[in-house]
Amino acid sequence: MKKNTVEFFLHGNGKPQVGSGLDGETLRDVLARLDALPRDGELVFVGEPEDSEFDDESDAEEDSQQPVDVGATLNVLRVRELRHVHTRAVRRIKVQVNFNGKHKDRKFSPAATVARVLKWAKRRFKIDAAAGADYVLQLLPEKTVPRPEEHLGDVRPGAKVLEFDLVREVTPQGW
Amino acid sequence: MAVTAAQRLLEADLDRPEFRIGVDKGQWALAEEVSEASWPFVYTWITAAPRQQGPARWLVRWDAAGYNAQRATGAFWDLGKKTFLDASAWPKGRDGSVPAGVFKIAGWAAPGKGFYHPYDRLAWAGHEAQWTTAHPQFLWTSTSTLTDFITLVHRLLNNEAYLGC
Repeated sequence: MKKNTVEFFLHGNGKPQVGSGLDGETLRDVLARLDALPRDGELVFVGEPEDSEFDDESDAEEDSQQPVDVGATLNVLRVRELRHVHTRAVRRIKVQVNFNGKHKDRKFSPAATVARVLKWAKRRFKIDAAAGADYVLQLLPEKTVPRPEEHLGDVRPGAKVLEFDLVREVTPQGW
Repeated sequence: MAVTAAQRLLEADLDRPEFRIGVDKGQWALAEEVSEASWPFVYTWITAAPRQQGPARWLVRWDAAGYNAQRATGAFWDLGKKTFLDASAWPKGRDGSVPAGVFKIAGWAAPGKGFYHPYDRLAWAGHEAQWTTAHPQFLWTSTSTLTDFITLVHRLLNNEAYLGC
C-alpha cells in the first residue's frame, strides 16, 4: 500500500466495509468511488465520540460530535487517525434504555458504539461497576444483544430512535 | 494439502471489518496466519483487562472444523507446551458471574477443552433443547462468525467480574 494511502472502516453503506483513499483526496471523491455518498438530508461523521463526556458531572444530554464537510480532504479530516467513516447517517439517534421499570434517554451520535451507551446507562441508573458487570443491552423488539463495538448507525441503519432493555446476562446452566 | 471450503470461509470472515476493527483497536489478533498445515486449528491472542494476577492477553486455540456450518470450539492454550492451558491457570471470574460460568473448568463434559457457552461446539452438544430456549440470542446460524465468538471471549476478559488467573 502506498504511503499516502489511507485505509478506513466505512459504515452506513450496507455491512461495514474497508475503504481507502489518498491523503489529499476529498472525502466526497472517495465516497463517490465507493458508491457511498450521502443522499439528501444524510450526513457523514468521522471517528467516534469522545469518552470523556461522561466524566463530567453534568452528563451532557447529547453527544457533541458534529458531521464533517465531505469537501475536505482525508488528511484534514484525520481519517488515518480516526479510522471510521460513517456515511448516510442521521444527526442523532435518540436512545431509550429501560431498567427496573424506569426509562432514561439520550441523543447519541450514530458513530457512538453500543459500549458507550452501556457505559452511559449504567451511570444514569447508578449501577456501580461491580454490580453491573453482567449487564448488557438488549435491542428491542428483537431482543438481540449487539456487539459492544457495533456503532449505533449500524444497529438499525437509518433509525432515529433505538430502544434497549438493560438486562443481566444469563449464565449458561446445565451439566 | 488443498484448502478446504471451511478454511476459505473462515479466512473470508477474518478479512471482514468486524474482525479487523478488533485488531485495529488492539482487542485481538491472529497469533499466526491461518494455514493448511495447522487447519482446522486457528490461534488468536485476546486482550484482557489489567488485573494484578493476569496476563495482558490470552492465547486461544480454536477448532474450526466444518466452519461455519457447525460451531467452532475454543480453549485457552499453552504455547510452550502446545497443549490446553492447565485448568489451574484458566481465567477466573467472581462467583456466579458470566465469566466464571463460561470459563469454568469443572462440572461439564469438556472442562478445560472448551468454553461453557452455546457458541461452543463441545458445550452445545447435549444442551440443544435447553439452550435453544434459554439463550436464543446465541443460536449459531449461517450468519454467525468466529468473530462473534472471539468478541464474546474478549468481552468476558474485560468484564468487571473477570479476576485474572
